[in-house]
Amino acid sequence: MLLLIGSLVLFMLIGVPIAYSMGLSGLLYFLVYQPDLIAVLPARVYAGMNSSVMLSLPLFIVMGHLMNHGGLTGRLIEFCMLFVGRLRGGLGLVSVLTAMVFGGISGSSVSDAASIGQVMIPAMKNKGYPVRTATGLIAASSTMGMIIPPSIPMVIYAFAASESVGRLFLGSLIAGVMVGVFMLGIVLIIAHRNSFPCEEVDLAPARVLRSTLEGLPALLMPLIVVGSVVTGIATATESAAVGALYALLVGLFVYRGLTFRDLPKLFGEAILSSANVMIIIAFSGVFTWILALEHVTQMIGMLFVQLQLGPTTAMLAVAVVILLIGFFVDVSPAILLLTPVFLPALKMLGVSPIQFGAVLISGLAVGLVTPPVGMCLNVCASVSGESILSVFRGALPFLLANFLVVLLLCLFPALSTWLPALLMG
Amino acid sequence: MSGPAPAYQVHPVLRAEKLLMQCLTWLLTALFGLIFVMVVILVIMRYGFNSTIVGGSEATVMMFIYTTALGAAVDIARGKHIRIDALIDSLPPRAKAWLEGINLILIGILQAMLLYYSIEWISVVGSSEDPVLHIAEGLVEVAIPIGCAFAILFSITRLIALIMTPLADPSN
Amino acid sequence: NFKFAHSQPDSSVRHKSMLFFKEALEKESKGRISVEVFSGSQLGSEPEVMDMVKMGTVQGTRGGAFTKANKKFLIYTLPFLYDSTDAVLKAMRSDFGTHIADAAKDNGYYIPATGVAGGFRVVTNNKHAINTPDDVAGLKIRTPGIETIIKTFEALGASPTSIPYGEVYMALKMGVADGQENPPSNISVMKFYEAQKYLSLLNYQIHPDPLFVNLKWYESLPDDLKTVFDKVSREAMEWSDEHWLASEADYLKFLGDKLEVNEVSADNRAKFVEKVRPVWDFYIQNGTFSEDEVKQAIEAGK
Ligand code: NA
Ligand code: NA
Repeated sequence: MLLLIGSLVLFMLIGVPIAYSMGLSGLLYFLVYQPDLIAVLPARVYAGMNSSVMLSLPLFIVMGHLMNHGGLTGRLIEFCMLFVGRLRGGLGLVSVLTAMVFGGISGSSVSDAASIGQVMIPAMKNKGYPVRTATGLIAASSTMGMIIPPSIPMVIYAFAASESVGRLFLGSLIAGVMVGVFMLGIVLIIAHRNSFPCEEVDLAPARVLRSTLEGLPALLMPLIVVGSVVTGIATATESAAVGALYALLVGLFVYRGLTFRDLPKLFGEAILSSANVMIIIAFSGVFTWILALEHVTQMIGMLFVQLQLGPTTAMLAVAVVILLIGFFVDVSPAILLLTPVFLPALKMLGVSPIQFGAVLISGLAVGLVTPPVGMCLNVCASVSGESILSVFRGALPFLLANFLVVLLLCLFPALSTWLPALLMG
Repeated sequence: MSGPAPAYQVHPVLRAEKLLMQCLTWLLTALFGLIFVMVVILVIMRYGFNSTIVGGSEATVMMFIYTTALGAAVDIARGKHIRIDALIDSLPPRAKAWLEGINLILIGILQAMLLYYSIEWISVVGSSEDPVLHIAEGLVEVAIPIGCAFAILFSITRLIALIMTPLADPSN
Repeated sequence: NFKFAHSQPDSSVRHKSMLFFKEALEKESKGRISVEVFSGSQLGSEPEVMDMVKMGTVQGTRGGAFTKANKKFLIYTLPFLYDSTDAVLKAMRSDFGTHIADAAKDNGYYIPATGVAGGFRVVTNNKHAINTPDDVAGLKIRTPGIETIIKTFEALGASPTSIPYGEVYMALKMGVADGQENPPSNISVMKFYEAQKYLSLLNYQIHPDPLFVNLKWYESLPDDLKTVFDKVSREAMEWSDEHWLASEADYLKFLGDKLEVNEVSADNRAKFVEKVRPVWDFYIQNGTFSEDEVKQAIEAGK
C-alpha cells in the first residue's frame, strides 16, 4: 500500500501526467505484490472509458464552447446590469451575478473565468477598481461555474460514486446560490469601505425590454439542461447534447457570433479536452481496484470509528483534506482520487453521497483559485497581467464565501439533501 | 515565431508526427460530430416519433471509447496531459530535459505493458457478444491496444524531439 | 483462496447469502479454502466482473450479465413462462437446470447452483388496473435496457421508454412515463409507489441468479473439496432464494397499503401468454435455444 501511494506521489511530482502516474503505480503494485492479477490492467482501463454517463463530458464541453463563441457574455452582463448596476460597487456586483447566471449555463469554472474576465477585468480597471481586487473577484466568483448545475465535475463525481446525475445537480444548487449571495454581500461591504463607483444604468422601458429579450435565450438554457435531467425527460448525455444543439442554434441564428466554419475547430478541441479527462478516469480505475482489493476503505472507516468521529466531524475532517488536496491537484483527478477513498467510509457513518458530493465539489472549486495548481487563477492572471500570488490575495476576501458554504454544507446535510429529496423522492 | 524554422523542427520524423496528429484530430472531430448528431437524433426520435434506434446509444458509447483511446495518444504528442508541473518547471533546463525524457520513457513502458496485456485480455474475453448490438465486444476493446500503439509512437517521436532540441532554447 | 465480487449493497440478500457461503465453506473445508467477498461493484460492474471470473483474476460472482456465460440462461426470462416461483425454482434445480448450467462450461464458467434474483416482476402505472393485454396497450412504460423486457412490452402494444433508474421517480411524477415494471422490492425502496396508483401482479418475468465460478479454479480442487464446494454452493443459493422471496412478499404487503393491487386471473394470463408468444419465437428463431428446450423448461417446472 505504501508502495502504491508513495510511487503515485513520486510519479506525479516529477511531472508524469496524472493518468499515467496512476497507471504506473498500479503496474508497480501488481509486479511486486500480485503478479497473477496484472491481467486485470486493460480491463480496468477499458471499464473507465466505457461509460454512457461520461459521454456527457465532451457534450457539456462543446456546449460551453458554443455558448461562449456565440456572443453570450456581453448580453448576460447587460442583463445583470439592470439589477445591480446602480448599487455601490456596481461592476463588482454585476461580475458576481453574471458568474452566477453563467454557472447555470456552463459546466466548468475555467471557461467562465476566461469569458467574464476578458470583459469585466478591463471594465473594472477603467472604473478605478484595484486590479488585484478586480481580478481576484472574477477568479473567486468563477468557482460558481462548477458548483451551480450543470457541472462537469459533478458528472465525474456521479460516475465515481454511481449516483444519479439529476440528484447531484440539485444537491449543489443551493450551495452555488449561497456562494453567490455571500459573495454579493462581501462585494457590497468592500465597495462601501473603498467607495467604489456606481454605474449609470438606462432603465427606460424600451432599453430594459431589449436587454431582457437578448438575455432570454441564454436564461432558458439552465431550464432546458438541468430541467430535462432532473425530470427524467433526458439522460445527462442527452440533455448535454440538446443543450449543445440549442447553443449552436442560438449562436448561429440569434446571437450570430458563430459560423459553420468555427464548428470543426470547436468540436475538435472539445473531444481532445474530453480525452484528457477520460484517460485519467480510465487509469484511476486501476488505482481504485487496488484500493478495493486491499480493503482500504474499510480501514479508513475503522479509523473514523477509532477516532470516534460522528458523521459531522468526519465530514468536517474530510472537508479539510479536500481543501488541502485542492491546493495541489486539479479538480477531475482530485474527484477520482478522493471519492473511492472516503465515500464508502462516510456512507458507513450515514453521510449521504449527495452531501459528500456537494462538499467535494464546493471544496475543490476553491482549489481552482489556490496556488500552485489553480486553473482559474492561471486564466485570470493571464487576462489581467497580474501575478498568480497577487490574484490569489485579491481573491481571498471573496473566497470567505466559499469557505463559509463548505462549512455550512458539512454542518447542515439538509442544505444539499433537501432539494433532491423534495423533487426526486 | 517567424522566419525559417530551425532544422530540428522540420526533421522528417517530426513532420510525420505532425501529419499523423492532424489526421487523428480530424478523425476524432468526425467521430465526435457523429456522436453528437446520433444523440440528438435519438432524443428527437424518442419524443417526436416515440421510437428509437435499437443499439443507438450503445453505438455512441463505443465510438466514445475510441475517441478517448486515440485522443489520449494525441495529447501525448501535444504535451497537453493534465499533470503537476510546479516542480519540473522550477528545475534548470538540463535537469528538466532529463526528467521529461524519463517521463516519456515511463509512459512508453506503461503503454507497452498495457498493449501486451490487452491483447491477451481480448483473446480471452473479446469474443463475448454485446447483449444489445450483437457484435463481438472485442471490436471495441481493441481500441485499447490501438490507442497504446499510437501512444508509444508519439512517446518515441517526442523523445526524438527532446533529444534534438538544443538545451538553450527554453520554448522546447 | 476464493475471491467473490458482486454489485449489490451489504444489506442485500445476495450479500448476506454470500457471507453464509463464506462461513460454511471455510468451516466445512476446514480452512483449506478461504473466501473474500467484495460487495457494491467495488471490483467492477456485473459484466466486468464476469470477464474477470473468466480471466481468473476473480474466482466467483453473481449478477445479471448471465448471457456472457451462456445465452441459454435467457430461457428463464421468457415472459409468462412460469406462473409460480415454486415452478421456477423447481426447473432451476432439476436436470434441465443442470443442462443449462453446464452449457456455460464452454465459456470457462462452472455453475454449481442457480437461484432467482428477487421475485417476479410486476407492473405499476397511474392510468388503470391491468387485467388483460389490452390494458397494457398504449401505456408508456419505463423499462431497463433488457431485450426480453423491451420486446415483451412491445408485443403487448405498450411503448417502452428507457429512463435511467435513478431518474424514474421524477419521470413518473412528471408523467414522462405512465408506469414502470420491477420486483416489489425495487418499487418500495425507490418510492415509486408515491407516484403511482395501480400495481398489477403480472408476474411476467423472473431473473435467474447463477453462481458463476472460474472453471479452471474449480477443476484444480481435490475431489473432496469439490464435493464440499458443490454442497455449500447449493445450500447458499437455497438460503438466498428463501430469504429473497420472503422479503419480496414483505415488500408486496407494504405496497398493498399504498397502491391498488390486482391479480391476473388464469384465463387472462392465458391471453398474455398468447400475446407474448412472438417473443419466445424470436429467441427460438435466432437459435438462442430450441423449441424443444422451451418445452423442457416448462415441463421441468411442473
Ligand atoms: Na455550472
Ligand atoms: Na489549487
